[in-house]
Amino acid sequence: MTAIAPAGGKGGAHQGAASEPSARVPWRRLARITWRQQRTALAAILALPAVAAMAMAVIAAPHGGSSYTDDPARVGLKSAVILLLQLTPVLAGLFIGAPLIAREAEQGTLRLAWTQGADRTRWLLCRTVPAMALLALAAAGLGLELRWWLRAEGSTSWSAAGQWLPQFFNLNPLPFAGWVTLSFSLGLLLGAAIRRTVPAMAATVGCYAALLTATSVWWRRAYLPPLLRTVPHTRIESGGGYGYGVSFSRVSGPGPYMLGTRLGWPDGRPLSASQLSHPAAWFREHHIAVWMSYQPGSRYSTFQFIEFGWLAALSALLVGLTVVVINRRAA
Amino acid sequence: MNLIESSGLAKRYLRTWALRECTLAIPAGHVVALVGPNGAGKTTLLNLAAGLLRPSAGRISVLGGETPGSDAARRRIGFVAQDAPLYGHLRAGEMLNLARNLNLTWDEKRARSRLADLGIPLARKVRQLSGGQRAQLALTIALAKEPDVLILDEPLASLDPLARHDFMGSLMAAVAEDGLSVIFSSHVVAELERIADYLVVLNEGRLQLAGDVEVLLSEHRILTGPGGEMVLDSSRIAVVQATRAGAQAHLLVRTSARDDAAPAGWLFSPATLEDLVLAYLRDPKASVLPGPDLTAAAEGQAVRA
Repeated sequence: MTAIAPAGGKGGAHQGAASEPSARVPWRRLARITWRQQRTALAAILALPAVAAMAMAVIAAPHGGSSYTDDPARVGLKSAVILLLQLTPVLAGLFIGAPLIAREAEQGTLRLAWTQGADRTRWLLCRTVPAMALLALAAAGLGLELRWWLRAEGSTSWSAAGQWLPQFFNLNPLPFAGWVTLSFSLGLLLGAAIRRTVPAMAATVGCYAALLTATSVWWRRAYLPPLLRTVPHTRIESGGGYGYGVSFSRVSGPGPYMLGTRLGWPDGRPLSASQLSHPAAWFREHHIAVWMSYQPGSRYSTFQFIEFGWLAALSALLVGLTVVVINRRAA
Repeated sequence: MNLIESSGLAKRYLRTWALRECTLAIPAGHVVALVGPNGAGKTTLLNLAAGLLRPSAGRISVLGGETPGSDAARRRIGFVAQDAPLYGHLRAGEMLNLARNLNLTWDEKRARSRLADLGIPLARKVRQLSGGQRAQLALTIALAKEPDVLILDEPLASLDPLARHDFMGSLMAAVAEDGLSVIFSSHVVAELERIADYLVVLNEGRLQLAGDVEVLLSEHRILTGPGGEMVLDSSRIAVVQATRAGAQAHLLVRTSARDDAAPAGWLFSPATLEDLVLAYLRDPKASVLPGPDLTAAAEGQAVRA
């Protein structure tokens, strides 16, 4: 402001220190708004793992210690629980992330919120960061509960190679927390960009499903360069057909994540297409072996950290993009 | 200090220009009525001033040079958007708390006593309040942040006559008490004279008229006489609108000198603000008629012609 005209009446003198250009609405006050506006949602987020824990305890209690893996009802129940848990991350994006800005845009309350003293960036961050942190905590809690419950059930699928299956890997505490925060921030950004709740929800589901599929099918297997080793007890037939058997001696703990097998020279080089058509004797003569590429079971927790790391970084990026979007766009 | 100052301001939504070539300066210390039919660009102009929209072209500043939407501008402008948006699921008291926590300056005592005077229960949910009560709550929130200027977008549109009267009453009381400036948009033309002392007319996205109400009224007169040919000194009198009723013709004219004599056979009579606004709104091109130089008469406030 360059001049205060007497015609202005108040002249702004009553505002005192508050009218200094650098003065901003403190975080403490914005936190109160977050609490008031989101307490129901935040309570629901916390209630979910609590309720799930009780449910699991009730279901698991009569069978604790003994194995019921062959009971078809128990197997069905386990599948149902795992399926339901798979859905929870996308629910965070659908019902908490996407409507956060889109609904306010639809109802016009953005024009109220964005013309008050607090700037849009703070307004957004105080509404997203606590929710994201709680979602991550709740998801990690659910993941731990599931791990405990499946162990109590004596589930065979919770050991060895089964642990690398997407539906099990995703439900480990760290990847689960990562997917929940990603879904939330994806919904947030799409809601801010689209500004209508239902289309933003649809876009959130689509993007989330695409990302989850791409990760499960292509990306996760390549987090670290795979190891290569020969498979013992193989039988190679004429024309390059082969049979092999792999068994895991360890009963507990994750086994290796098998990525593929192929025929190769003793030093690992693959055979060319023409070499594959040699007779069986040629394979024996040249000590051709079946090579297996895999991620060892010892990398299981490393992979969880890697997955959580990039999901958390991507979530932070999406929130940052949302800040840019709401500061550029009209209300 | 100017409340709003713009030059060449324009806003386009996809292919439609909502506002074009808008150059104006609204001085502080006024109750400004922004008048125009639906779709004239009133909301666009006010949203630009509130920082909710960015101009497609041109420049706009508020409160003597502040960028709309900046920290300082948001702090000093009390804005009530069209339909007075509030969080319907909150109670009136919670709505007040929320707004208090979003602002640096806040007069809680006054806000609460205002709501008490209006008989708005703090415990009632906002969505259960009547339209008039919601408008009053929105006004209370805008006033409680102790702004230098209130910007109200169609504050009267959804109110019944009684609520409208009460709303304007409490607005005028606040203006008298605090001496703040007010800019409000309206497509209701009646009774403007009682409320506003500065008029801005927008039509089809263009600025038609802006000026102090008293000055505008002294410049515009109704000329009544027989129809037919008439020669007017176009350097002194410009016809804004001509209507014929039987043998008589009514001309709304704009004159530079107040003591001009009417042409022979014609009679001057004073125009009301309503006459004036309606005449301009009926003819969107009225402002581009060749008009006399009114700068001197308007005491330094240029009126676009």
